[in-house]
Amino acid sequence: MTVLLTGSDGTGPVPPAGTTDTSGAPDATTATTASAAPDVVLPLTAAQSGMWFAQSLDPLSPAQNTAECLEIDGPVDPEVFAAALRRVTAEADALRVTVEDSPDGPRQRVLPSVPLPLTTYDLRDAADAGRDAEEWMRADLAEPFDLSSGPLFRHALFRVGEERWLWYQRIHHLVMDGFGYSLLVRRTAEVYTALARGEEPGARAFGTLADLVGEDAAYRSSEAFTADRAHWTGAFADRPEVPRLAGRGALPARTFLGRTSHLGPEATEGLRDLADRLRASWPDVLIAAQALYTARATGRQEVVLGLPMMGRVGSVSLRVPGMVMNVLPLRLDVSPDATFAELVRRVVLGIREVRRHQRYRYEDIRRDLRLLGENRGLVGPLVNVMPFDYDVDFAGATARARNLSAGPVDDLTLNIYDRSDGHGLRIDHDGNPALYGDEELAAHQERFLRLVERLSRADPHVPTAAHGIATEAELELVLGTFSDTARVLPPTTLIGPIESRAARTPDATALVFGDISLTYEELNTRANRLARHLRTLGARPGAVVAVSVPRSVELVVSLLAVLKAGAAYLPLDPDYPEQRLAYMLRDAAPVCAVTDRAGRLPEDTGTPLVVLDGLDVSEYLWVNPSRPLTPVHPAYVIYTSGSTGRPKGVVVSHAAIDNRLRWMQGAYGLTADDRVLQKTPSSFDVSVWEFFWPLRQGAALVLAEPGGHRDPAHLARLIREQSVTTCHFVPSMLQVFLAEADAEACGSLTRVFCSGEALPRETAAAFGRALPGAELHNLYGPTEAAVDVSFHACAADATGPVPIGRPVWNTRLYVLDAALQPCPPGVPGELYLAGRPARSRGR
Amino acid sequence: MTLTLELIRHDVSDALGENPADIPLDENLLDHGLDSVRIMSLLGRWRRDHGVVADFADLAEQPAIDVWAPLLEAS
Repeated sequence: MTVLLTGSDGTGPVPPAGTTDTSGAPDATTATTASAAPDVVLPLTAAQSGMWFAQSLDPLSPAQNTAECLEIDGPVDPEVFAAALRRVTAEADALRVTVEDSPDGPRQRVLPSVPLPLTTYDLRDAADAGRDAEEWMRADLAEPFDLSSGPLFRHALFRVGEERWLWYQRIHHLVMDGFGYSLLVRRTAEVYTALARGEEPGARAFGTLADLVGEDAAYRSSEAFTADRAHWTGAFADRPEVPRLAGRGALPARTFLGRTSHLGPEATEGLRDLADRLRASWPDVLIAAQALYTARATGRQEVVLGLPMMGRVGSVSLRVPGMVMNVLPLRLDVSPDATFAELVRRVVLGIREVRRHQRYRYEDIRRDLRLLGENRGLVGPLVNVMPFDYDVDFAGATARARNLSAGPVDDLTLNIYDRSDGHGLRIDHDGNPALYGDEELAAHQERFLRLVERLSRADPHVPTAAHGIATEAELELVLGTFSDTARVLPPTTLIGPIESRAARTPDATALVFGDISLTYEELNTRANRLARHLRTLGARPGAVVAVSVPRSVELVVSLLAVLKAGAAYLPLDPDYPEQRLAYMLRDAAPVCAVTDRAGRLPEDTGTPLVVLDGLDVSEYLWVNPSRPLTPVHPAYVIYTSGSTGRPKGVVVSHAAIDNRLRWMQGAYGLTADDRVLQKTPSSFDVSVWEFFWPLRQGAALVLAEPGGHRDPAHLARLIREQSVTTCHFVPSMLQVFLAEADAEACGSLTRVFCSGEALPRETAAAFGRALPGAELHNLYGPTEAAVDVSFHACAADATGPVPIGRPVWNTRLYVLDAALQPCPPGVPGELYLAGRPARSRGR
Repeated sequence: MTLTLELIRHDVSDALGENPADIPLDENLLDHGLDSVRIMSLLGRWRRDHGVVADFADLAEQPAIDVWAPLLEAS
């Protein structure tokens, strides 16, 4: 049977399972100062004020609870332990404080004595004492303190084995920081050891809370304060953007998500060696590693990290348990061409600079710069190194400390402990649950640890560009699995499969335009005759033929004819300004230009014109022309707007577009029963699959009227009347179509493709509601990559941004960071394309 | 082995990445880049190698070699 050794004050969590409360009354003994002095009332220090305001915003929040657990190996006398705690409580002013608002601002009242909130449990008989104690501590951590009534601390002592004890203490952050804990623990061990040996403990060694308050007030009225303010306001006048690993900020939550891990003894040793070689401390090296990680994971070259500083060296606060620590911004340039050694040097010098102004409060810097609120921060991740003095024993029983909560977590905090226990460095990643889930936090931790290990082994004098942040498993995923698209395809061209289809299904409907309908044989014959005419004008493999014909049967015939002659077609939108058309004609130097009527194209470019109006090609042979065409020959040339403003011709090979169309067929399986809408102007590359995919598969091509692609009502009518099954929309047009046209009546649609713009999730959802029987596919790709390189099927119930999906056949997609290293999944970077067959070339 | 003034100066300069000759005996080491982490690590080394009993606060209160010497029982 487990036994509750001493009393509970009735406010804590329920006792661990199986515990019997035998004691009844709470510990009535009070911790008293030597003289029964009257209460001392003090203002809050600036450090405490920050905590007070934060707690006032959410009085029932337990976020400002800090806690730790000491594992004590050896015999412990719980009565002596309680006596030691009573004495330390009497010595530490900050523990006996309550805080109340007053007309002059919040005041802290130091009570001469407070009851000792200690609960002791005997869990020796519990099946899993460690877990029971842990659960109790977690529950206790969720209890908020009441600042006005106090006490602002709480202890529990668990006996989890014959000679194994857990000492838990929770303290409000307003009265204690991490260094303060180390003072309390050392003093408690000292007093306990003396009492256990029947000796009188040494005299109180703590300074008073009044000392802290006095030092703080003196600083805030000093010239140093003014100078420090000027320093910080100047250093951050440009308000650098905060690097946020989650991509956004959030208000502090009431709890945090914590993950503990260790940098192994070997890596820890390597880290210390590296620090020695770089004439730095190991925390400097870890901070540099976190800067590198943050820069790469957020895609920025400059990062601002938060550095919690104890702020006590050279101050009376060295001997005062209380809240003193501060968080200061460390701004670092993390360019990929600087070496890691240089980055560490920047950290060393940066911290040296920060330390000169470290007394100025973090809250004040933010207020001065007007950087308050969830989206206007000052620092990204915090790196909190706590090498505090925990080398203690309790009358010979050794102890190991374990932090349970280091206070509120705005974004992400790395708490790093050097407890010299042979396990290497302990690294806790604490995250704001509003920003991170378990998996994200685990991923950040894993990547950071592996990065530190690699940095510890690597030559620090090579540029940091040599280091990526992805783990080996992530690299395998993003370099291997994600782009495992290799597929052996027959060496065919864009036009070949269309000709063989025409031979196989000559009587099937190939093309519908208004009242006109052509079979495969009719279309093939017309195209063959025109092709033979174009050959007389120089059309051949490797040559370019311009086509400037509005959407019509003649347009399709012309495009096929150019391809059949072996040439590449250059679509010229008749609506383009004359200057642009003239530029494209001069730049692409086509052997001739096909137009529907005279006057379509500028006449001074010297390009021979083939005017279809009045042209008789009936004398030409009707069979497929022969041509020495290979897959590497160009199939079409499409001009993009170009990044310089000058249109840029993109030449796409037969192999590239053939690969693209073979993938599309493999992915979506068009059949002879399908009817595909052609509505994209031929000068945009989406039109390439609209024109040729159906003709390769024996399906019917349904042409919209010229200009009809801009008229939702026309499109809806055409889809309905012609039973169109497959079509394409740019997302903004799909949105208009769904909103204005009678989309629900377009039940013949089985698949709709989107590309050309980001597809908003709302549009995808509206599509799912309007056309529940149709699939929506999001495609992505630049013109240079033969229309599309990636695809994603939109699920009707999905949420969040619509992905661009996975790469198509024989195509690899890589997201790379600023150093051209692969980004892990979820980390933003630049998209790079690679693949076979050889992608297209610009002109 | 007891710590000597010169040993302290050697270890401090090592922690700061400076030449021992550049570390004065009577000046605040904070101005030379000493910080809590480095004090802690020096203290750890001196406890281990020289049986020093001083604690962190003793050293951090007035970080100067000539103030430390008696605390570290150095001659």
